[in-house]
Amino acid sequence: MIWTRLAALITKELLSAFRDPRGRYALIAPPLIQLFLFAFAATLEVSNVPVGVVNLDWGAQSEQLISRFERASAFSEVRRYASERDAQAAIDRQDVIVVVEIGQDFSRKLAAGEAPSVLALLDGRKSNSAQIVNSYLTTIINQYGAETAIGPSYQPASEIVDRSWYNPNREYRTAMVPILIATLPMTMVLMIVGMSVARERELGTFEQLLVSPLQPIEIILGKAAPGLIVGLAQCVLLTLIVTLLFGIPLLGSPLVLFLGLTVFLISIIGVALLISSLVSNQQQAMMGTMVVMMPAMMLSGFSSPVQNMPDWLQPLAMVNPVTHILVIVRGVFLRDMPFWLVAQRIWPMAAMAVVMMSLAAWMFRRKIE
Amino acid sequence: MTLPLVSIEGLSKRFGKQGPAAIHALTTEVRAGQVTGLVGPDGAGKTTLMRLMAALLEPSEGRIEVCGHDTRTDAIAIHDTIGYMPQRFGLYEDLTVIENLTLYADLRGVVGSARKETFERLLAFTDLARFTDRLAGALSGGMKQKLGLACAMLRSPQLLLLDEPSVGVDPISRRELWRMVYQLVEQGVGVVWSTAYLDEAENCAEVIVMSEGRVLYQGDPKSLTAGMAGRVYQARGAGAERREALARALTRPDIVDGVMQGEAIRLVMAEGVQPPTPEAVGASTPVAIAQAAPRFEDAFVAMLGGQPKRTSWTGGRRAVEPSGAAPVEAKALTRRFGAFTAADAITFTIRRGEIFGLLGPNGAGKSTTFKMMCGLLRPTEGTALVDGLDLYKAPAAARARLGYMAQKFSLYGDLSVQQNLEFFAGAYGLAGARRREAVGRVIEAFDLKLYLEENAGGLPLGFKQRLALSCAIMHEPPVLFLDEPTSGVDPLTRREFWAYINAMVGRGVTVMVTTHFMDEAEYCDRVALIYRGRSIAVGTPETLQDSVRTPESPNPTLEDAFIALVEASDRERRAA
Repeated sequence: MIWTRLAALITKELLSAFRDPRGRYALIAPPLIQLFLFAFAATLEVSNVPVGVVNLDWGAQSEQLISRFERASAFSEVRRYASERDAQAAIDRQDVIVVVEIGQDFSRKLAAGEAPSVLALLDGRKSNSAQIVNSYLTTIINQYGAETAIGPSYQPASEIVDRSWYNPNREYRTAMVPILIATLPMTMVLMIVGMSVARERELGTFEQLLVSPLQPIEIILGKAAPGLIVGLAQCVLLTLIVTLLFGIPLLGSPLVLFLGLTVFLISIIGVALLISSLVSNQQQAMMGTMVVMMPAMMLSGFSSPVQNMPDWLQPLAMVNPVTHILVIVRGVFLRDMPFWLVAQRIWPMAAMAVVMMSLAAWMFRRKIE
Repeated sequence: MTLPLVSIEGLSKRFGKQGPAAIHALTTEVRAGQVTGLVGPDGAGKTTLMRLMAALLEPSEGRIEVCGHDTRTDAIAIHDTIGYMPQRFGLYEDLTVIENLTLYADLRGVVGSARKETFERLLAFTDLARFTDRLAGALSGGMKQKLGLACAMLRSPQLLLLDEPSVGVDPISRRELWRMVYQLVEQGVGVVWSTAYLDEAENCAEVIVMSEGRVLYQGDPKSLTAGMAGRVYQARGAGAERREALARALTRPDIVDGVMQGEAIRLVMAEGVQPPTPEAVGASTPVAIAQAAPRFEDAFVAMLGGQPKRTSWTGGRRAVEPSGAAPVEAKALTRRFGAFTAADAITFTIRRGEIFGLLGPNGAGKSTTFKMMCGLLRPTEGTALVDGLDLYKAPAAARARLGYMAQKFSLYGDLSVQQNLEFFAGAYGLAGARRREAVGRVIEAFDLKLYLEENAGGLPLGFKQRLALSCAIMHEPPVLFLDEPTSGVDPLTRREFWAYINAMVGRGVTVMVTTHFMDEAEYCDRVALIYRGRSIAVGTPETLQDSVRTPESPNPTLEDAFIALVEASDRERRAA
């Protein structure tokens, strides 16, 4: 009896999602578009930026330094400006985010064995990129200084050798793209499940469900299961694209990854159901989804590490399922994260899932009665 | 003869180049100083025509002149001379009455002392002066319409276009609206009143009857009705057999139309045939047949060629097994929202095979009571029983025994007919062979075969209604709850619907229906009149009519009875 009713509900939900060609398109196209946008457009990497140079020095050394900038792969070209005033104007126009000013005495000081100074003007409006560019410049200038030092050869007391584990080339895409496997289906599932109850309320079919022998818990399961099916299907599709098309290897076990994703999606569906139990139309559901989605992303370590957040915000990040799934996805993808570590991240999501589902069930029951 | 306010010539309107015509080759006139009724079922093109006259839409072909201005070229001038009240009021529900008025006055440029004077006049006219600080959203349906009317009247228009002003308005407020409109007509204003209720046609000096974008009749409604004289009869005395008797009578070629009217059957004969004999009705008890005054609806249905003849319907396999308990029972149902009591100790018992109506003005507690009986709203006190099962103690078992059809046919519009049927069968726990059998049965009974693959959202209204009913009865419930099942539906579809219901009642199904539509109430065996949260009268439609019979009104209609009883209750309350 209960299986008949549940099966009917689930079939109905999947049919309404997939029967309409536009509906099918809406489920498949946006995650793909976003995947490609995030992979290619939203990069935080600094590459192919032009560098401005004001060279007041007439010596050969300054030209050597500039040619090193030209050869650096991070910079697309070197733009020369005649004066500091021109350089300033270029920064104002946002032509370049950094201008290197080499003083008149650069070559002379080098020849004299003194340490010349170089001024780097950075556009603080783009603080992150400016910082990265600055570190590139510093490296180049330091190297140049070390190699051309005249007189007694320069012996640093110690040398720093860096190695990036799990992503040896520090490729932005390798770090960024796998987590989309979790976040893109999350937005879809929030929308689908959050709106589906509201849509039925608007159509009047929700009352029809409530007067049928369906129990509130069955209605909730009937709404949750299709969301999970659609969400997991998207996860599979995205994983295939990420591994096959982008060539980012999945080092850990796919089984562990999907166990994590399943628990994560259930907790998200719980949130979506809670939203839909509180709203009365699709517009409100949309607003509710937005209100939840932004903080969930911000507090997850998606764009900035959780450790950077103030202490009073960190507990919020800990109850946020997104925080945990990001650790799992990054871990399983980039290093073969051991299961016991994954399990430590799964149980908080499972707890959230239980809390959210119960809250939603309670709200539905209260609304009905 | 006065000059026409609106003249329409060869008007057609299509939405989209290839789309079907929403209005087809219409030529007509609207005169000042009278009410012109625009009558037709939902989807007839009434609203489109209204919007065309208000110069909000451009005609695809033909032309419209309003007060001497062409709607294509002089839209602004037209907007200055007419008042237009769209369906659904066009009010801002979060603003108070006076804020709504002020807003529309600002928009229409009514300022200074003229505004003060206009407001005073309109508030007195609509009797809304006491409610100026109330939010428009908190007004009753009737009061909203009055406020909408006031907003449309700000510039003292020459032409007033009212789009379905009586939807969602109870009979008392409806009478007041008509009274107000007549006052305006006396001042020389031309009024166009669109409606799906045929009984309102008789209040108009002239009607334009539309169906699917075409005009079926234009002219004086009274002459159309008068043409039916001598063809309308009432048959009394068939008692409990009257539903079968009606179904039998309708199979005869000489009878074009028939409806229930409380205890009586109303029959409309074909042109030029003999009056009906008791044998035509064929009941076992003696039947008395008397001539009755024709109504506009009789003429309308006769004009459409009468009810389609169909062999009597066999929707169910078997009669409902009687269980010991009453099918539906409300015991002192009470629901409070804070300090407000929406339903106060409402008690009734519905017998097996009875159609029971819940009647009442909007906001009187009718819907609250209905929701409590469906298991959608937990009563604060009292019990709601279906087949002896408490809806709130054994909800699943009780709900499995009731079928429910919501007001606006709650179907999944993006699923096909077949998928809708499968879903609702599954939701009621039918699986395997039982489901196939149930789905097959309703497909055959309701002639749904041709539409199985079509999306429910795109079905013609009549088929939507059949599908909604099919979905509600696939699990063969002994009890059926209907929420305003046929409001806004054309008379033929409504008759067809009630034919199905009558057939089910014949098998012992018990029906509870909410309505404020008097024609629907006439199909009921008994009605309960709900007013201010209390049940103020319960009885057959005829007993209610008898109870208000006075020398001044020897032949009260059910609507008269409704109004008289509500007013009597008001007097009683004031006296107490």
